Amino acid sequence: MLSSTFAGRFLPLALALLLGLAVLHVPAGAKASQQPTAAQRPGAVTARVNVAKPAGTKDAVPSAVYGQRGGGLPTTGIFVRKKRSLEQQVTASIDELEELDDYASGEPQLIADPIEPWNRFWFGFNDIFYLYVANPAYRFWETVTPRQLRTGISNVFRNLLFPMRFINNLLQFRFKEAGVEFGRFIVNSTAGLGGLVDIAKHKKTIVPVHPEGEDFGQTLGRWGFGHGFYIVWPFIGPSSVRETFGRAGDYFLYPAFWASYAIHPWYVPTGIQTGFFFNDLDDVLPTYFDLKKAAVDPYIMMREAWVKHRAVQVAR
Amino acid sequence: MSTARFTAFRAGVIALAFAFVLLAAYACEAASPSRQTLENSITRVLNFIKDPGYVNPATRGPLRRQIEDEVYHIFDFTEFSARTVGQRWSTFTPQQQKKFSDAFAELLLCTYLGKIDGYNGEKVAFVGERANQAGDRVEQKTLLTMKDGKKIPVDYRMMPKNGGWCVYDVIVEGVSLVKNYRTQFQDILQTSSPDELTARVKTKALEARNAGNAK
Repeated sequence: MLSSTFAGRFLPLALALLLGLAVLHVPAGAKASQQPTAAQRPGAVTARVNVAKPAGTKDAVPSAVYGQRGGGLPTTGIFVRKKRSLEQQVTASIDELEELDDYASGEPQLIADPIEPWNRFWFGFNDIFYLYVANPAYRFWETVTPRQLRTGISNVFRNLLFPMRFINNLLQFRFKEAGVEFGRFIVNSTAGLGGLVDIAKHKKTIVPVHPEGEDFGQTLGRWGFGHGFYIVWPFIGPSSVRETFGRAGDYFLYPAFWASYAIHPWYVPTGIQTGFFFNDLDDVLPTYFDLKKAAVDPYIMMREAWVKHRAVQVAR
Repeated sequence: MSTARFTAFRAGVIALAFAFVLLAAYACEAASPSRQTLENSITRVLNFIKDPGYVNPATRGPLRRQIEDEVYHIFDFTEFSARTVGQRWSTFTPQQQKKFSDAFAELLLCTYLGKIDGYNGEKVAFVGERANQAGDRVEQKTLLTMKDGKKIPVDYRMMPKNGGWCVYDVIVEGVSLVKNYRTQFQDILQTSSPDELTARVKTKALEARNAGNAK
């Protein structure tokens, strides 16, 4: 859940490689019994949502609401215009994942969780850490810095993560999106004072690019890899075998990695990057506490919500 | 996952809170019956929230109760409960079903209504709908615009009930409320009885209520 390099510089990579070996040794039978994960479903790996005109749909009466088409009799199929905004694209990709069913069939959990007791232990550990360390620390940070400064720092960090988003767009053959990311990077780095001001934020782009961007975990998902199984990392939170590899891949594109060639010793850039991650905690902790409050079993709720959320990100 | 990714998640929680109470409703002649029901119900709720008395916690009580009535009217918590419990629902006695759905409704209302302090200019647009072949399951797609301009897709699944339409699931950014609780409940029911599950839900609702009052 929490993103950070608290775990150190080499730890994530080393662990990822170790885990990768572990996965290779999972017996074939055990693999077959795994539940199909969301990413393995047909909709999840599709690069683009098909915009098929719903069969038998007569042209909808334009409604007065924001000039959107609305109303009409219930139609079969997705009801969108051909040129869709970013948000419409998101909802459409959700439709692909989600059948409009009556939940009659008992849907299995979204991800295999063979090491649940171990994961639950780290979930509990993280919970205490967020509640008693990260949260008080962030509340203090909030009182000593103005919001504008925190937003500025956050923008700079986002700008520095450009290589990650750019390369992962390329790896997914999304060249237009890569172009948009590139353009934003140039504009924000120059006119935006090195990324301090996100002036490209509201600029219209040739293709809608979600502000969350792409990462290697999503790339792997787009390539058709399933999650494997669920892993809760200390400090970082929900992850899976695939996402651990994803994070390890992204690690090479994190600013601290390449900065460590120029700035010595290595823990200086790593420390700064950890600070950037910390500064970004703004909404993360309250969200976590909110979700926990609403859940009857917070561990399961986080696991399922995280997997679902990742599936949506992979699909869009 | 990166924090940027998580902020959308954060917005989702707030969105879910608003999903229960807030949709700017617009009169539209061509609207389907399900959409009309949703719009009407929400207009009334919205008026309660816009009431100056709502912002002040001291005078919020009666308005809050009226909102709850309205939410109970449009959201069918028996349908919610049946779907969250899943196939085991039929093994619950009618009494257990009633107790469970009351507790679950209480939990949802306490957690999510507690998030709404007042009206901040959030807007909702109906962006489309889809239905199954028989036309008895409809999904109303909306787009919630938060005060900071962030847009969150919120979909309402609806079904005919007692001559009208009711909501049986809310999907925020692709995460179905029912399905999420369902995995939790199925896990708990593997080792616990229906009564124990209800007790856990009740405890959680009580915690949420107390936290809401303390705030």
